[in-house]
Amino acid sequence: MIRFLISTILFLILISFELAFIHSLPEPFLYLPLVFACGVYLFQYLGSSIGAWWIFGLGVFLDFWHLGLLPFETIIYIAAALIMVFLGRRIFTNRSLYGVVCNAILPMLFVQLSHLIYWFFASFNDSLPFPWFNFFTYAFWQIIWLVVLVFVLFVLTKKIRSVLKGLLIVPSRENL
Amino acid sequence: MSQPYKKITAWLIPPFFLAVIILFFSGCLPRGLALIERPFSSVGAWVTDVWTKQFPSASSTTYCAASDSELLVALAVDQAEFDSLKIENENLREQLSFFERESFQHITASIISRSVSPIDSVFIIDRGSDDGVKEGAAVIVSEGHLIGKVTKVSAKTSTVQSILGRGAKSAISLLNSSRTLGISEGSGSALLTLRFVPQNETVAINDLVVTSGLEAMIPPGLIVGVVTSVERDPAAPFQAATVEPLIDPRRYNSVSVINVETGL
Repeated sequence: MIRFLISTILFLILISFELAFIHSLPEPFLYLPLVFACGVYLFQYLGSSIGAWWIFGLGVFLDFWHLGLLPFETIIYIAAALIMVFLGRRIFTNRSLYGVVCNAILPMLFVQLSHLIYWFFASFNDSLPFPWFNFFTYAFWQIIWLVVLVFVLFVLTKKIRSVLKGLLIVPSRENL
Repeated sequence: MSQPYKKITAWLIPPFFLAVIILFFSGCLPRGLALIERPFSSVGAWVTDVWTKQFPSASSTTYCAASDSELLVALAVDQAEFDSLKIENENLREQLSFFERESFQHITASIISRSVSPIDSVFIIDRGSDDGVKEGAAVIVSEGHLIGKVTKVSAKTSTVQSILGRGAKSAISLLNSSRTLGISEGSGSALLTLRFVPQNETVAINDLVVTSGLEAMIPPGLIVGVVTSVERDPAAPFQAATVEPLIDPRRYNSVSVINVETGL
């Protein structure tokens, strides 16, 4: 219970930080997908299923505030979390930079591809030209920042692990 | 973990999440989050302001250098004020408009969250229906610069769509000799498109664009931007123009919501 409570509070702080601070930054820094990167890192490298819940929660928040690109971000982020869980459990080995980076990029590519497909078909019924350049700039920077963030988290892993263990979010090594 | 402890945990988790969901949808949690988000948003807007001044070419919404932009804004404000006063002196109807202006109800709000969408620019403010915010109300910054309209209102917060958002339309008029009317439309980029301007109207570059007051809840005279290019196709019934907003909404953290009933 305490673990869930702490992880929920940490999630709320992180999502508030992303939606309020990061999204207020100038380009290209505003595209930093902090919660997504933390979710992937928590799940893939630290072995905590809370990571998948954070990605699901991100979709819920985007829908609740109407801040996403689509009106059904929750569904896309649930699918992204499931892809991450599948890849993490069946394909990529945890604890490797390659595994963590791939498990970050592929669900994110799925999210971006979903947006792309939706807007590609939606743009047929619209008189306005679709801002494809803006869209690809956004998608490009999201993926770049995701890789950078995951790499930074990977480098700082020992410190993060000790902090999260103290907060009871990460199970101890023997339980993994 | 011992068996009784596991049972207690299993019983406590559902009520915990239920409580979080209830708090979330009742507005208590968003209000609480606003307390965390407000300082984050302020710092973010400040960083953007400093960054834009340091690296003007990196700004996504302005073509001009920061100093030129500030001069242009000051000039636009002066011109808008001058024109407004001139019209008000011309007839009683404009005087009435003036008094209506004086009775605007303002609600000051802070931006607590922003979208990162390249298509639809949306932000959340920490005022809702409990504070008197109404759907469709104009959201302004600085000295009457329109930056968006309230699209959704909850008890404690409101969603505002930027005028730059894709498909966001505003009834506008140009501050030229004939007070040309038209509609500005956001395209998801940093510029607005001016539509439905008849071919016989003269639209010039640097004409100031303000709200016309023909739209419910949006008072006249709010600054939208300046005309940067005009496209005339003799075969088309209307001419189109590109309008550049004079301010970057990302540099502002505090906004004002105008609650007024106007329109025809």
